[in-house]
Amino acid sequence: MRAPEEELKRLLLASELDLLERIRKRCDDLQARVGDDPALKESIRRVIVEVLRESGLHDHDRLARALAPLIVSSMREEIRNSRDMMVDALYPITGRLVAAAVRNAFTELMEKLNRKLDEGISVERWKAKLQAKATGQSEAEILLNRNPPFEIDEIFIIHRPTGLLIERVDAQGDAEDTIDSDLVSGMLTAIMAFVQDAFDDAEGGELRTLAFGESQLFLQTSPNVILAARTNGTAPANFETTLQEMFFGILERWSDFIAEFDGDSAQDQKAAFNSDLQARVRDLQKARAENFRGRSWKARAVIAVLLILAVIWPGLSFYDDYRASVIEDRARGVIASQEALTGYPITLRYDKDTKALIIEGLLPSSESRQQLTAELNRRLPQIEKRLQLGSLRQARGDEVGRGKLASLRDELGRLKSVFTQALADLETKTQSSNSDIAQEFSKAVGTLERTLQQNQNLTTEDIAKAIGDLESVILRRQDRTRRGLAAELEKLELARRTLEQRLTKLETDARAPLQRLKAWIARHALFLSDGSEFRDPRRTDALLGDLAALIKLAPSNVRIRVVGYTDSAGSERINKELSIERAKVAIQKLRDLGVSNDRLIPVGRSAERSLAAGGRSEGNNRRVEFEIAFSGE
Amino acid sequence: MSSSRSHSRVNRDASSAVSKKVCVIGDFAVGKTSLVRRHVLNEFSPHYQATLGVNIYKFSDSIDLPDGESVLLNEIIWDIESGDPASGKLSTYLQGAAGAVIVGDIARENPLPSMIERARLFQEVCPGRPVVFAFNKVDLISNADDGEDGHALEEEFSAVAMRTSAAEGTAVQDLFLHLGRRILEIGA
Repeated sequence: MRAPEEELKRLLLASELDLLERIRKRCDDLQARVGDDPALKESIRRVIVEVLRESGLHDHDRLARALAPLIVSSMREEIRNSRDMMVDALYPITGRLVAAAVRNAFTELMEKLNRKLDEGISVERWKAKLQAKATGQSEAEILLNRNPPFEIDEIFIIHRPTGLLIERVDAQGDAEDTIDSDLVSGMLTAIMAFVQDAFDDAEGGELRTLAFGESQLFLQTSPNVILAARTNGTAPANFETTLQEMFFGILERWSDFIAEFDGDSAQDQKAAFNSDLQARVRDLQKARAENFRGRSWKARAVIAVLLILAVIWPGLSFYDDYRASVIEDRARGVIASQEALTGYPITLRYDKDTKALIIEGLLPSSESRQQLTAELNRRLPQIEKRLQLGSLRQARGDEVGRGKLASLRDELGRLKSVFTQALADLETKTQSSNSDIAQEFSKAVGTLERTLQQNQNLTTEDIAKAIGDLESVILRRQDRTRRGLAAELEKLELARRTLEQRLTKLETDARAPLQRLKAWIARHALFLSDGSEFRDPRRTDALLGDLAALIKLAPSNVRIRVVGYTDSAGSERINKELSIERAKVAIQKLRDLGVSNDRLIPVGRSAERSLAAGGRSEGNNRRVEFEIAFSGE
Repeated sequence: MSSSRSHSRVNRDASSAVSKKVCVIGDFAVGKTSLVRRHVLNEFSPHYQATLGVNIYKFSDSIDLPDGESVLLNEIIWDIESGDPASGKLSTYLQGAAGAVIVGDIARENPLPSMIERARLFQEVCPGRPVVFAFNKVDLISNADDGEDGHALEEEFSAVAMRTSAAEGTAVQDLFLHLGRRILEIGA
């Protein structure tokens, strides 16, 4: 049973009490949700994502403005704190990006270069073009490889035993000394000692280069000194050699200084060493500008040899010509000094190839020949002489000449008697100045006779001239003795005609051997089976025998071209050689038969002038023909 | 074989400068690197990191000679790994040194034999060059009378022996200053 007061309160304040109860309940609920930090955190956690999303949707800008500074600063912080992680995470992506960018830049550079190249013309460019064609590489690539950027940054000279720096030269001229050179020197020395110990190269091998990124350290070493050159870019082929030369130069000049080096900056000669080194580095930079091509001794040597040849060759040939002309002049003098030889056809030339003096022609007698030979031997003792001289008596030795000349003499004798008769008649008829005429006649006849005796090759003109002389002698007297002389003149005319006939015949006979030779040549050739074998050796020998006799009979200045031919099978070069070979075989046989080599000229015409008509067998094309050579050929 | 740092206590534009190679040698983990870093960089790290090969440091100091002349000495300090003195590698590193600091650990049972061995090796490689002995880690012994006093070394090598502490900086500057002066007195 509740207390009456309670009952009363309930009745009076029922609604208020309910309200109070409800309020308390809500307060408890609120307390549970936001009453303390964990509860509040829990409550917010449940809704915050939703809240952010909704406010992001409805009030995006304001939210962004509110959050941006926070996010940015925290990101910055995050990046700073976990740089390595970021780098690791980003490396594959950035790496690819960088590679792509570099590739792009490279391609762009190539294109630019190509464009530039298309615009300009230079020898280098043509060389690169050719090389590009040959190798299939791009022209720009070749040029880029040819002159890769290369720079020498600095040079260290290090005292090896102590690892102390003797001198450092900044090749670029910027005094930027990022790391203490003394430390670099010491470290380098230590590294070299370490490498040597670690790898223990029994043959005394040394560390030659150190590479880091684009930079490279080139090392030259001796027991006392290390030269280290820090470079950037791809070193040209000759750089190490040039550096080595520089190093040797330093060693040569400064070995004493280096051996006595004690780390004292005030050491004697230190300044001199420094300036010398500066000069050497300048030289090195100069060499770099020329891409370390160096002095090309090869080109110089080739030019020198060519120059020497260019001087010596014409000099020698000029000397040869001069010598030949001196010899020829002297020989001409010898011939001119021989009175007996005046008027005889004698030609001479000095053959530079065989180094022989060749004298051709006709002499009055074998005595004059001996005389000439003796005189030539006296005046030109060292010179080989080849005399192709015929003396008249000798020439008459051959049957043709002897017979003709004997009959000519008879003829002349008869003519003389006719003239004597005519003269006698004239004398009796004109009775004046007979002796005069007689003298002139006998003189003219004497001249004619002498000429005939001396010269086998008597021409019609000579005879005609002699007769003309006679005629004129007679004609001079004609007006005085015209009538009386008419009959005599008829007799003389008759005699003249007879003489003329005889002379024509004589001339024809003298020419006959040549005509026969020509006729023979026109009708004969030597055929070969294969190579240099004659098809019918016995017939060939017979033919060559005839030919040799004819050549020997022909005047000595007549020369024969011996022409070899081949069929058209095989290469032109081989056929040419074979055709000349065939000609030479024929010439050898003719020489064996006593024909002078000087009169035979070998010629090869391979498959020219084919004898095979209409595609028939070419067998007959393998042959040797003969031709009369042109005079002076 | 690693990084190298340098430090200078003077301006370098002194009238004349002399560079000298100074080696720091001693047994495993006696505090060679710590001594050098205290000397050159005035820093100390309690974490041990073994030296591989050589660390190279540079320290420039202006040293007054007895005749009143002042010389700028560039010490190129080779802090060399302990290694095996008999291996030959140590001799290679020692070559050309103008002087050496031979370090031992005063807190150890008997530091002398290894110090003597190294001192003899140095005398062999660089005869006549001065050495100084450092009994390091003096901060680790509680009683100042404990540990080696180094008289035996001083007598055999006619060299100074000092008790040093890289951790607290005790006698480190004196040690190198003394060696520097000896080097300049003897002349190279």
